[in-house]
Order: sequence, then C-alpha cells, then structure tokens
Amino acid sequence: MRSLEQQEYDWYFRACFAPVSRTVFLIVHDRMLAEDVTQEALYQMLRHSRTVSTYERPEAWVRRVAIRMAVREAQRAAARPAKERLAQPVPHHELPDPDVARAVAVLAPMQRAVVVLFYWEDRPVHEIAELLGVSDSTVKQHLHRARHRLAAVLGEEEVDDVRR
Amino acid sequence: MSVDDRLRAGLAANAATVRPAEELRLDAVRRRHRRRHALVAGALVVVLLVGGGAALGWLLSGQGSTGGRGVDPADAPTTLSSPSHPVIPASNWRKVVTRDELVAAGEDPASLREHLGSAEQMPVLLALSQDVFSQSARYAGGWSGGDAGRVSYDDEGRLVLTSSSTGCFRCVFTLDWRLEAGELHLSDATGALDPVDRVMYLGTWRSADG
Repeated sequence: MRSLEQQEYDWYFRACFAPVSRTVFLIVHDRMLAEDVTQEALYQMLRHSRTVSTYERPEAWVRRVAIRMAVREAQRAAARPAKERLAQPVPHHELPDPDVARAVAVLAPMQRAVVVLFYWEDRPVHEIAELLGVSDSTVKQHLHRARHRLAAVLGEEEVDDVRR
Repeated sequence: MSVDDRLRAGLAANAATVRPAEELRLDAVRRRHRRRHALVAGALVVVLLVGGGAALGWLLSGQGSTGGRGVDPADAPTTLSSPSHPVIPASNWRKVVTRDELVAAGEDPASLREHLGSAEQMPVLLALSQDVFSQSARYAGGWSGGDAGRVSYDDEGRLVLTSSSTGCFRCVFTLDWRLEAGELHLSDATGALDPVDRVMYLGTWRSADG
C-alpha cells in the first residue's frame, strides 16, 4: 500500500503540474523547460516534504519555487550571448498570439514574471511581491515600466496605471 | 483595446497551448478510474443483491429462525417472486457504434480522437442479468468498462436501467424492449435519453453469447 506521503504527493502533482507549467511557460517561453522546472519544483516539495507538509498551502510553495526558478532560467537565457540565443529561436509564430509572446519576451525576466503573474494569474501586487521575494513598490515599478513598453510595442493604449 | 485587455487575452491564449504530457496521461487515468469505479459499483450491487437475496431466502426458508428445522430443501422455492411480465434472460449483447453517430450526437471530435484513435467504429457490449447490467466498449487502448448499474422492470414491463457509475450516478433509462430472432431491440420509452445515450443504448443488439 502506498504511503500517505506518496498519496499526498500524487495529489499535489495532479493539482499543480499543468497550471504551474503554463505560468512557467509564459515566463521562460519553452515548453520542455517549463515542464522541467515544474517537475523540479515538485521534486523539491518531495525532498522537503516534512517541512512543506506543515504549511497551510503546500501547492503555493511549489508555485513560488517554480516561479523563482523560472525567473532564474529566464535571466540565465538573457545572459547568453546573442548568437547562442539565435541558434535556439523560440517559435513564437506557433502560438495563438505571437505578438504578445514576442512583446513579453523582450521584457527583463523580473518584469516578464510580474506581467505574467498580474495578467495571466490575476494576482494582486502584494501576492506577486511575496511570490518573487521583492517589495510591493518594486512590483509596481516593474509593472508600470512593462505596461509602458508593451503598450508601445503592441500599439495599444495605456488606460490607467496599476494600483492594486 | 487597452494594453491590459490585450495582455490578458494574449497570455491566456498562449498559455492554453501548454498541455503537458502528464496532464494528458492523467486525463486517461481519471477516465480509467471512473470506469473502474463504475465496475466496482456494479460488482457491489451484484454482491448486495445476491447476498441480500440469499440472506432473505435463508430467513424465509426458516433456517434463519432458531430451533426450527425449516422446510425440506426439495420444497424450497427457487425464487422469491416471479414477475408478472416477461423479462430479458441473463445475456450478453453486442452492437457497433460509429464515429459519425457519436459526432452527430454531439460528442467532441477531439475527445473521440483520443478515445477511438483512428478507428471509425466502436464495438459495444451490453451484459444483462436479472438484476444488474454493465456496458463496455473497445476504445483505442482495448476493451474498457463503461456504464453499469441495476436492472429492473416497471409495471408495464419496460426495462429500467439505473446507472451506478460516477459519471451518471442514478441516471435512469426506461427502455421498451423486444426480443426477436436472436436480436434485442431497445427503444426510448420516455424520450428522456440524451443523444449520446441514445447512440450507446438504443437500436438493435445482436446476441454475443454465441
């Protein structure tokens, strides 16, 4: 018979894998990498199961770990020489909205993560700040700059500023 | 459009393209799990009915009462009651459902591709006993159990199937039936069946008992 720990892990795996993979994908723009990162975050939960299982929401822990790993991966990718990046082009044209994908891809990794968490996961500024381990004002600053840049790239209007 | 709306819509559309293999596998596992539940529920109904019938028979025959010798086994009734109308004997029936029929009934073509693979037809088996029924079908991955539940007959002798499967728990199908030259003809007695159930249950079933 499987242990309770294993059953709980299975449950979290089912609950977290797909939604976390989607968020990570929007940050790293690579499906395989998104799945690897999510898998790694879930593995970390298994490794630290004794501690994580005492948390009120272990799945939130997995999400935080995955998102921080995704930001690091995006930073690593951004730091690679331009020629190396050209060798591994991200196939944005395969996505339903390639313009948004391209526009978000040019943002700095932290800005990208903030935009994804704010617009895709619909999280308030305070929660984004906690997830990324930064202050509320830093998140607002990232969001303000990202919106301004995205509005210009996408040719859309900025209606009002972010105050959440 | 504002940049906010554009981003929300664009990110949602792009995120929807991520369908991890694990999620697809989990969908398959969930389906198998539901089918297994249906089979277990069906088996449980059989056990309860057989067990309950045996216990009742034991009590009625007097062997359950203390001190009594009970009736002579030769005189013991073999059934508790006999229905006043004909019933379908325990039997297995087979028919073939086509992809076109299922699509016409409103099944999602993408889901059908997943279930049937490239097959255009899906053989379906209906097992009926006096008390329980089960339906199974041959999907792309092989035969797999589907709906299951209790068999009864209403006052007019119509076949009443009450599903015990989690997918349609306590769904009741009331069917007119006719046995003719090794074929079972089922039709909707109340007009209440949904289009997919009509495809899966109604029509002519051929005997699968050889």
